[in-house]
Amino acid sequence: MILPLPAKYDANEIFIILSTVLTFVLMFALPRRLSAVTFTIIWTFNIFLALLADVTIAVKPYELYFSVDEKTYELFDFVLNSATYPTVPYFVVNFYQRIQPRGLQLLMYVLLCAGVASALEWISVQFHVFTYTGWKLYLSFLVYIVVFAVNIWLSNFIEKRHPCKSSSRS
Amino acid sequence: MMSLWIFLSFAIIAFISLYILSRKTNVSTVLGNYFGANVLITITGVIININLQLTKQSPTSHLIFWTQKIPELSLKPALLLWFIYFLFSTRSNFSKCIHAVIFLTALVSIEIYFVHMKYLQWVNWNVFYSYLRYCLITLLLAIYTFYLKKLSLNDKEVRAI
Repeated sequence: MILPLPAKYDANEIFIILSTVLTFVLMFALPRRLSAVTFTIIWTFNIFLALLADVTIAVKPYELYFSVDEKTYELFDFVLNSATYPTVPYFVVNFYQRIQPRGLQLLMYVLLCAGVASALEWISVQFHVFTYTGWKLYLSFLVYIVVFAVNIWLSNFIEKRHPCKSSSRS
Repeated sequence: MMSLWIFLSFAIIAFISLYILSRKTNVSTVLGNYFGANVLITITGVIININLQLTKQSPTSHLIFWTQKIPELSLKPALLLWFIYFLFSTRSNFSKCIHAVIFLTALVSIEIYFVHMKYLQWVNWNVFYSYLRYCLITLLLAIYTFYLKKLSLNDKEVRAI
């Protein structure tokens, strides 16, 4: 099968469905501070990052973790990579564009977001969305710092060229 | 080790070429397409290799793993982006067809090289299917490019008003 369905709908699938629905409701309910171009590129960038992790550190010779039930690429892996995961960096970038922290505030903001993302990841580990086979949560925290910093830089870079319509900064 | 150095050199050339492409077109489109191309290459690769098991690839050595990973992240997306650039250009259809054959053959050649080096094994896979895979990726990437260009255009129109 191209994208296998789960043999049994257990805790991890329910967690993915509920968190995806919840984040999508929040995403549409909260005002967007990004232009359509920035939104599309940020979203694609984060799918790319999620897939990159899956095909580098989650496969042989590293095999540091696996997601969902099996080591195949299931439908729920696809949902996780393309819909659930990109919402977190989207919220980080969207809220950043709203409050525009600078200097130490920006550092604190990135650290706080990395902390929240790590906490969410810890919850997802409890629901067996991810199973660590060598990976550690503190490594995720460090990765999130870099990922969110790059996301913020990328959003600023694109927003300069394609500013948001509702933005009144310029 | 030799292959790794060859693909590292190609990676540098690929990224320089993408910089040139971003000067010729639009840096946002190039960035979006680079990520999009990577997503499509990875998803189709994973489905073919892991889910359908049409190819076999289980690198135990880090060297073999990175020799395959480097062109996947650099050379292949760069070739796809240049291919899309030529497809969206004002060149004649004949010229576009010639470019299509060149770029698709270059993409398939990378896989043939890995098969030749025994890094990749084709179980129920062949050159024709590889061409089909890259045609599908190009089609999806062209749709994504069209969508991104349309969004950029809409942004410009709004700013002009």
